[in-house]
Order: sequence, then structure tokens, then C-alpha cells
Amino acid sequence: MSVNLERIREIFSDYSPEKGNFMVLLHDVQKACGNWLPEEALMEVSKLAKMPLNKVYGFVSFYTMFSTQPRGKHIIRVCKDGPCAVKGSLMLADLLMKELDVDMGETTDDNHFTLEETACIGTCTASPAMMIDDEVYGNVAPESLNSILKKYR
Amino acid sequence: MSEMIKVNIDGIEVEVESGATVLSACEKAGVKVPVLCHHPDLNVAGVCRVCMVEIEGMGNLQASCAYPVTQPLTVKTKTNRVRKARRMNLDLVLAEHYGDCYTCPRNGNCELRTLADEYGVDKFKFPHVDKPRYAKDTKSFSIIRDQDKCIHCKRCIRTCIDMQKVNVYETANKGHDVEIQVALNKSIADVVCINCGQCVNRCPTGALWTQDVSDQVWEDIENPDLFVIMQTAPSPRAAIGEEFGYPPGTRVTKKLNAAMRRAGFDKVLDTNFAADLTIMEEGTELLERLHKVIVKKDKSVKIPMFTSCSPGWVKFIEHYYPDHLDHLSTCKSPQQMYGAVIKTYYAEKIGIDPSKIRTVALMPCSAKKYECNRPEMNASGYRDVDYGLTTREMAMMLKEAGLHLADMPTEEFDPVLGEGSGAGMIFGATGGVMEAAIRTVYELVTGRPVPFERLNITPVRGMEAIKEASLKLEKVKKEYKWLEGVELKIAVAHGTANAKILMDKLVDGTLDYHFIEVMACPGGCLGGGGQPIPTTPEIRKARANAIYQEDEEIEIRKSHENPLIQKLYKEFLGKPGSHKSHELLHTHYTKRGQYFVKD
Amino acid sequence: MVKAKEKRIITGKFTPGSGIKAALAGKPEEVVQEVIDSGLRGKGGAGFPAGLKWRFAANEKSDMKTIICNADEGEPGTFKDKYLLDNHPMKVLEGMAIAGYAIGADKGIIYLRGEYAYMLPSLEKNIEDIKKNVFSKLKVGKKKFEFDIKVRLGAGAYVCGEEFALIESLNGNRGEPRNKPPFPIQKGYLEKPTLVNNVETFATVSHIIEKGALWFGKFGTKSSKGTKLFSISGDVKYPGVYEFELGVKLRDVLELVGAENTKSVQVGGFSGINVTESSFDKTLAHGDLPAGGSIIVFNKDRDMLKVLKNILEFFEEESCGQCTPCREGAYQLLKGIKMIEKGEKSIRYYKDLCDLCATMKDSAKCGLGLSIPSPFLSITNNFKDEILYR
Ligand SMILES: Cc1cc2nc3c(=O)[nH]c(=O)nc-3n(C[C@H](O)[C@H](O)[C@H](O)COP(=O)(O)O)c2cc1C
Ligand code: SF4
Ligand code: SF4
Ligand code: SF4
Ligand code: SF4
Ligand code: FES
Ligand code: FES
Repeated sequence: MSVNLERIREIFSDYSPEKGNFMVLLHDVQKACGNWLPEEALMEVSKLAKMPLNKVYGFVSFYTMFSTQPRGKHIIRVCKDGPCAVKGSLMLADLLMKELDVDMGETTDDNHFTLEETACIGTCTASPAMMIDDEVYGNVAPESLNSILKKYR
Repeated sequence: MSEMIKVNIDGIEVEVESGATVLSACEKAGVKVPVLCHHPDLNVAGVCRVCMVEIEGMGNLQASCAYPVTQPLTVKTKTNRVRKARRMNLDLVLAEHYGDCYTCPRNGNCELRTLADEYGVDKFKFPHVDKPRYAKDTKSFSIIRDQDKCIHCKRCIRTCIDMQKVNVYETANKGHDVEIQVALNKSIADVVCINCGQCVNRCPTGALWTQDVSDQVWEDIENPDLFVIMQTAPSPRAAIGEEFGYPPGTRVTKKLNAAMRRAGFDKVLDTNFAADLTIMEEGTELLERLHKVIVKKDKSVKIPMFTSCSPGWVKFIEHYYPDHLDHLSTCKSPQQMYGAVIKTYYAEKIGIDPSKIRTVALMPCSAKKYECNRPEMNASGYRDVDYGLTTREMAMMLKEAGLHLADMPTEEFDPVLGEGSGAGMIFGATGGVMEAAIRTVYELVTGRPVPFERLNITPVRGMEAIKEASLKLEKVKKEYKWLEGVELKIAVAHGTANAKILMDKLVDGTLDYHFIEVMACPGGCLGGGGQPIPTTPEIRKARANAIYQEDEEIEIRKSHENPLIQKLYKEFLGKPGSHKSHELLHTHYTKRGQYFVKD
Repeated sequence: MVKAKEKRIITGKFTPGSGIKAALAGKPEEVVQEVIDSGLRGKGGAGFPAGLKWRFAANEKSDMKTIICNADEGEPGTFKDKYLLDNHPMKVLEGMAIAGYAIGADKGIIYLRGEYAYMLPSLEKNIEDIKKNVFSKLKVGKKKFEFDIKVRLGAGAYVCGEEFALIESLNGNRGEPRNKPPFPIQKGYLEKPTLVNNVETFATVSHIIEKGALWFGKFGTKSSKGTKLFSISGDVKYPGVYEFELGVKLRDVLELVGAENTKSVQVGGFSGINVTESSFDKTLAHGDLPAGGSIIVFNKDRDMLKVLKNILEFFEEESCGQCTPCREGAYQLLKGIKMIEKGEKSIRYYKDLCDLCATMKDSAKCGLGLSIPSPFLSITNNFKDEILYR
């Protein structure tokens, strides 16, 4: 996908140039670029934010929610931390890998789903938990997986 | 701020300024504390955690390099608790570091190895991390990166970002995946690196190094068909002694001459000669520019003019201020001027086919390696300069050949193009080019020597970040009537961070000077990235002293009075700024910008 | 969800505006004093006396100060701040305004963890509401009361809950903790004095100012006043957010939430400690069990080696990676435990790992590295046989 630089400039003009806005801004840019941050997008961000590219890259690579690798249309994040892990989130992850035919961190061939692990998402009352994009799913039973995925197919 | 506060270090009382670090108090008390991420030139990081000390009243140990003294403190540096923590953190570092000291350029001068030695590391406490090995980045003409040896001390980042205001490195990723990276994992050759080598000079390990061309030089020396000519810059001469155990600031020029001849160089020439040539060309260019601006009101001609002898600085402005390249003098650096003259005029003089000549430049600088490889640097019809060697590389070559400076006799440079004036000598220190230029320009314009005691233009000397001075031109010679009463305003900046301050003013339109000297490295070339490690503020001062002493001892102290220079113009170039000069001694620049091109 | 009704404070009833109105009725110093008198401790984990921090912040002279509400809630097994922001947002916002008045700040920022991005719209709406319906109607002397609140998102980095990492992140940098001193109250957001408190701390303050320190002081223990929210998860029948009076016995908590067959409990989240049966009669209070707010229960079916590895993997990934003892220490602890498991290292190597813990606890740069040894040592101590001699 080619990067829509015009859209990135629009996003920048929506925010005041305060440092504090940088993170929100990048979230938006990432969304606009299809869930990841291609090289051209980072260069444009660097220019617009007047922030050198090494800093932009250092920043982006620090935060797990940003990616400089292509990702699918929907991101599935399976919680891997203690409370969920003891309640079967690892099995859930296995099932998803099998169902989508990808490894952890990979994107399906049709670019539809990317499967990732996440640290605790605060849904431990309903472990095992996972998120698809901004939607949280708790108590995910293996049987229910397919019907959840269907919504996004 | 200057309130003094008492600190007790292992029973020794010292006083330090409020805000000073505990580490500096320890130094003052003569107590040595090991460090890996601290460097006297750099901002505090506090990440390696080997400088830990016990501060009374604090629950945990504290990093002495990062802890500011704001109230009286009692500090212990030798307790078992401290020793164990330091040793343990060192053990952890050793487990992440792929050490192969035999083949490492820092063997013998490695801060990590030294610490391991001092702390009696006799076994690996922890298994080695099992991260995949990195491929070495050797694409740059100047800098090599071997990330397997990186210990994440971030000195290079702080050097490049804070000290040089170039933005090459940053930490990437988090957790155990942290690595020191170039933006988007590019090769250092493909980004804004200006090749200054300051990061190399501060890296505690062999993770950063400069390209080594000594093997090629050895081969050329041994090749009977080739005639290998060495030119040596002033700064290496003021520093190479350090590699042989002399204290910083020891002058070894003449011993070095002898050693290099024994190593097999066919001629040993003095780059100071080319520095004098640079002054002639640059001084003339300055006067021409002033004339066009003041008399002809030519808007296309740009003032202030910036010096262009520092290839790191040239690349800095190409990347960061590509729209202001017109302010750069078109003069090549002395190294490149020399190369061009050697392969033309000098070749003819000594009767050797220039295609058989190899020119080698001994430089304090890693950017010179890049400079001599710039595609446009072939005015002589050949590569003007074939190899740039750093001071460190030269020392290694000499040691390899068993040539120790202490054992060497003293020898002079080769004649014909062999000698430079004192003005050329001081090129090595920040302010030196300016001083040399002013000695000549003032005299050209007024017919009188500069009005400073013993010709020492002290306002442009010293390690102040930005130095400025002005000089009123009065009772000028007839042909310079248009300059009568003009106050010549000059400035000197060293380190690209300081240069950036001036450039930002230029962009704002508030920069009011005629002539500005910039050297990419702190202290000027004597603090270059190819100089012996360590380089610290004290060591830079000592090297500067050596350079200024040598200037005072040279009989000819003004470039235009160098008889060899006069001869060169008479026999070959015509006059400064002539067509021939432009062909051989001047160059042009490239707009680069801050982003790599996608290939 | 709450054990005894009369002890409901943080989750109790609250009339919007009552806290900030009570605050504005007094001088800023009086508000600070009230918080000091209440004995309130920060609810973000470290338990630092909130009033004292406020006083330091109030004493700083500066043209700009900022209030930051720490909603990064990244400690695994913690979701109480999410609960508060979902169910009692007005208390939190009002608490921030009270703090602003007390220390002389007119701006507040909520640092919301990236994973809670879905809350953003409702939170922003609540901010609009409170500004319109409450703040705009208030006066300080003759002047209008003004307090601005913005929400900023994180992007998935646990360490950004550490106050300096959070500030760095807001400054558009990598979330790497800084050396202390200076502290955020001296040099924080945009290098200006900054007060960072936890979501729950602000919520509690609203009640304290409304009802007074004396009232608040009736709850809790001598050194831990008031109540506290606990996020309870793992092998229990009724996981969720609970409000307990500080000083409550762990055993009583476990009983209430329906923990059966309990093998061990991770108190205070991953960075807290692991306790077994013999410690269940200890209390959740300052100086006893860490009252950080997360309680994860493991039953007898759970493999504690797996749990330990899971915790260490978390730290190995979530360390900011700048300092040696934390970055390499976490890695070596994990690697060491795996090697012992596979028989590649002898059990004696465990002693080296304990030494390593001592150094990490003594020399890491921030709270993250300093606390990794707690779960490691407590779990390996509690389950020596299971982990080392399997
Ligand atoms: C690694 C680490 C993570 C932290 N995460 C949080 C967090 O998610 N929320 C929080 O309020 N405090 C967190 N803290 C504590 C904060 O640094 C800070 O002490 C707290 O926000 C102060 O608020 P309080 O005094 O109201 O507790 C964390 C500390 C560390 C070292
Ligand atoms: S960096 Fe130092 S310790 Fe490492 S291989 Fe080189 S000399 Fe040895
Ligand atoms: S050589 Fe200079 S510009 Fe290049 S990375 Fe090193 S410090 Fe930065
Ligand atoms: S490359 Fe050298 S200076 Fe840079 S972090 Fe690694 S060890 Fe330190
Ligand atoms: S202790 Fe860990 S998280 Fe804290 S500064 Fe050090 S590496 Fe970063
Ligand atoms: S551990 Fe999975 S949501 Fe908290
Ligand atoms: S030298 Fe102090 S922490 Fe590295």
C-alpha cells in the first residue's frame, strides 16, 4: 500500500505542535497507514514534527503498539500474562495460530489478521482475554473463537 | 550554584560545588571509581551501574556519576556491598558482550577489558546471551560498527546527539532486545553521519571503529612500481606520542618523520605547507567575496564565508543546511589541495609519473577517509589522495613494524614541498585557521602585521564554545581602499553543536560576521575522531599547547611568507584564485538533506 | 462487590462538585494540610505519603506546574484504575483539580495506557462535562476557577507507569526512567514541577476533602489509613475489584472472593511478593504485605515454575532496557531458571542467581529493576522443591 502523505499532513494539522501530542498523533498515523508505520510515513512524521528520524525510530520501536512491519487489517492481541496464562491463554494462542495458519507476530497471507501477544489488558476478571483492534474479549472459550473471528472476516 | 558542600569520601573530606556529582567528588578526593557509561565530555546517563557507591542514609546503592551533591554526604566506595554490585554488573555486561580480544582493535586500550582486569574477573559467572550475531556494518568509508561488542552504554548516542547535534544513533526496542541503532536499521553510510568519529573516540569497547586501510598502504609500500608519499597533519604529531606512552602534549614530529621513512614511505611531507596554500586561496576568496558584496553589491555572493577544511563540518552543512552551501568557501581542505598538487606539480618536479604515485595522508580525522573518496576529488586526473590514515592507524602500523618512537632519531620533512609555516601548524587547534588567515589577510590589506603581541591572536584561541573578535582595517593599502575603516568581524566554532548555533542564526538572518571558522570536532582537529583514545578536555588542552609551542618555534609564521608557497605560485599556479588554482584547489558541494534516498 | 457497606469510600456515593467546592473554601495550604493529616498514601504502588508530596510540589516555585494522573495501569492483574475511570470518573477528575488548586497548577494530564484507548471518548466527554457543569461555576476569591484536563495515550510499555518514564513518554521520548534526584516535583513534564499521582489517589482525595481528614482517619491502620481498591484475579470464584479497609487480613480477602485450594498468592502484582498459607494471616497494609492493589491467586493445580517463568518473561520484555542490572539481570534470572530446569546448570547456580538478585535490588535505576528480585526470591523460596528439584 502506498502511503498517503496528504493524510499524514492532515493529521498533523489536527493537533497543536505540543510535544505531548506526539503519541496520539502517531496512533492516528499508524491507523491511516493500515496498522503499521512504513518508512515513508516515518520520514514524513519526522519532517512535520521536526524530530530527527533516529529519534522517531527510537520512539516507535520502544512502544509495542507501534509496528514498522506491515500488519493486517485487524490486530488480534492475546494476553499472555499470569492471570490469563494460568487460565488458558496460551492454548488460546495456539488455537489462533492454527486457525489463522500464522506464527505469533505474523500476518495472514490475505493481510487480514495479525496475531500478537500483549501484556495484561486489565481484563483479568475474565481471563483468558484478548483484544481485536480496540475491542476487548473476556472469557474466550475455544468454541467461541470462530464466531468472534467471523465478525471480522 | 557555587555554594560549596562538604563530602566525605572513605574518610577523606572534600568540598565540591552544589550540583556536582558524587563521582567528581571522588575524583577530587583521589578515589578512583570505575565507570563505563560516564565520559567527561558527555551528559550523564547513569545506565551501566558499575560506578555504584554507598551513600549514608540511602537505602540502595547510588550511581556516583548521576548523583548530585546538594547537601553534605558521607560516601563509601570500598565496602563489600559496593564491590559485589560493581563486579556483578560487570559480569552481566561481559555476558552480553561478544569478546574476542585478540582480533579486536581495542585490545590493549579497552575500557571493558581493563575493568575486567581490575576487578579480577577470572571466569564468566553467567552464560553468554544467546542473541543472533550481528553483521558488521562496514559500508561507510569512515566508521565500522560491530554491534556484537556493544554494551549499551549510550556514549555514542550522547556524543552524536548532544555533543555533535548530528542524529545518527538512538536506542531501539525495549527490554532485552534493546540495541543501539541507526534509524530504521540502515547502514551508517546511508544516513546523516558526518564521519566525525567522535563516537568512535568515546566508545569504551571495540563496537565502533574506523575503517582500516593500513593493509592496502603496506601493500603499496611494498610494490616496487609505486611511489608512496606521506603527508602529515599537525594534530597527529601532537598526539601520536600518547600511543607510545608519552604524556599528552609531547611533540614527536621529527621522530615520527624518521619512523615513517623507516616504515617505507618514499617521501614525508608536511601538510602545513598545504595549509599555507589554503590560507592563500581562502584569504583571497574572502577578499573577493567582500569586494563583490561591499563594492559591487552583488546579492548572489554570500557573506559570512565559512571555512571548509573540516570534511565533517562540510557534510554537516550539506545534510542540515543544504540551502546555505553558498556560504562555504570553495577551497578544498589542505589534505585534498596537497593531493592535487602532489600528483601534478610535485610529480613533475621529482620526475615521477603521477599514475605511479600513491598519496597517503596522516590525519587526526575519520572524516578525511570519506573526503578523499568523494567522487569529485580527482582534479589531478587521479585520486588526489589515495588513503587517509588516522593517528591510531599510523601508531598501529608503526608498532607492527617494530618502530617505536622512543628509539627513533629526529629527522626533517622532505624539501621542495616539505615545509609549512607556523600558521599552517596551528590549523590543528580550534581558531587556528582563523588566526592563520587573519595574519595573512590583515597584512595583505594593510601592509602591516596583525596588531597582536608576537602575532598571537589570543581572542580566537582557547576552548570556549564560540569565540568572536573584530579587527578594524585602517590605513589600508591603495588597492584595498574600499576596505578602509571596515570592522572585520570573525567567529570561531568547534564541534558541530556550536556550529549549529551559528547556522540557526544564519537562517534567522541574525548572524553578523564576515568570516567564520568551523571545525567539526571539539577543540578542532586535535580532538579529531581519529586521535588516540581517550580524548578528554584536559588532553585536548595539552595537545593545543604542543601545537602553539611549535608555531612559536617556527621561523616563518605567516603563510604568505612561506617561500615554497611563493615558488609554487610563481612556477605553477600563477596567483591565488587563478584559473589553475580553481581547477585544482577548489571544489563544489552536494545538497544532501536529512533523509536517505530509497533504493 | 464490597465487604461492608460503611467502609465504602472510594467506590461510595459522591456528589460531583462537593470535593472541589470544599477545597476552594479553604486556602491551598489548608488543602495540602488536610491531605497530610489524612495520612493518605499514594495508591500507585510505592505508598509514598501523598500529602508530603503535595507539600513539596506546592513549595516549588515555577511559572508552570502540571498535575499528572497516572492511568498507565500496566501491572499484570491490575484493573482497579480502569474500574474507577469507567465508573467514578468525576471523582478522579475532581481530585486532579483539587491537587491543582493545592499546589498551584492549572493543567492536568491523564496518561491513559494505550490498551485502554477505547475509554478515550467517554473520558473526554466527562472532562467536558465537569468543566462545563462544575469548574466553570466556581470562583477562587473573585477570579474564575480554571483547570484544564487532557488525556494522553500510552502505546504499550509497562515501564511508562514509572513516573519519569511516563513524563519522558509525554515529552515525546522513549519511556526511559531518569536518574533521581531531581524528582518530578522539581523537574518533570517539560522540565517543570510535576505532581504525579495514581488514579485511585485522586479519587480518594475528593472524598477526603469533602468529608475531612478526621473522618478518613477512622479507617485503616495506624500507618495505612483509609481503604484501598484491590484487583483480584486468578483462581477465585468471584474475581473483580474490591474495596477493603487497609489492614484487612489476606485470609479474609481470600475467603470472600471464593479462593479454594489455594497454593499461593501473588500480592502486589508481578512486582510484589508471593505468599503461601503460612502468611495468609498477614495484613494488607504498609509495612506488612504490599498493598499495591493486585492479588493473583493460584490454586494447587498451578505449576509455579511456569508462573515464575511467565513473570520473568514479562520483566525481560518490559524493562526499558537502559540499565545493566535490570536488562541483563532479568534475562539471566530467566535463563538461569531454565538451565536449572533442563539440568544444564547445577542447583548450586541458584545461589549465584540469589546474589544477582541482591545486586539488582541494590543497583537498578528504577523501581522496575529494583523489584524483579521480589517475585523471584519469594517464589523460589516458597517452592524450592517444585522449582529447583524437579
Ligand atoms: C515499573 C513501574 C511501573 C509503575 N506503574 C504504575 C502504574 O501503572 N500506575 C501508577 O499509578 N503508578 C505506577 N508506578 C508508580 C509511579 O512511579 C508513581 O510512584 C505513582 O504514580 C505515584 O502515585 P501515587 O503516589 O499516587 O501512588 C509504577 C512504578 C514503576 C517503577
Ligand atoms: S571490546 Fe575489549 S573486551 Fe571486547 S573484544 Fe575488544 S578488547 Fe576485548
Ligand atoms: S561519526 Fe560523528 S556523525 Fe557519525 S555517528 Fe559518529 S558521532 Fe555521529
Ligand atoms: S557502540 Fe560503543 S559507545 Fe555506543 S553504546 Fe555500544 S559500547 Fe557504548
Ligand atoms: S531498572 Fe529496568 S526499567 Fe528501570 S531504568 Fe533500569 S532497565 Fe529501565
Ligand atoms: S493478565 Fe490477561 S488481562 Fe490481565
Ligand atoms: S558510570 Fe555511572 S552508571 Fe555508568
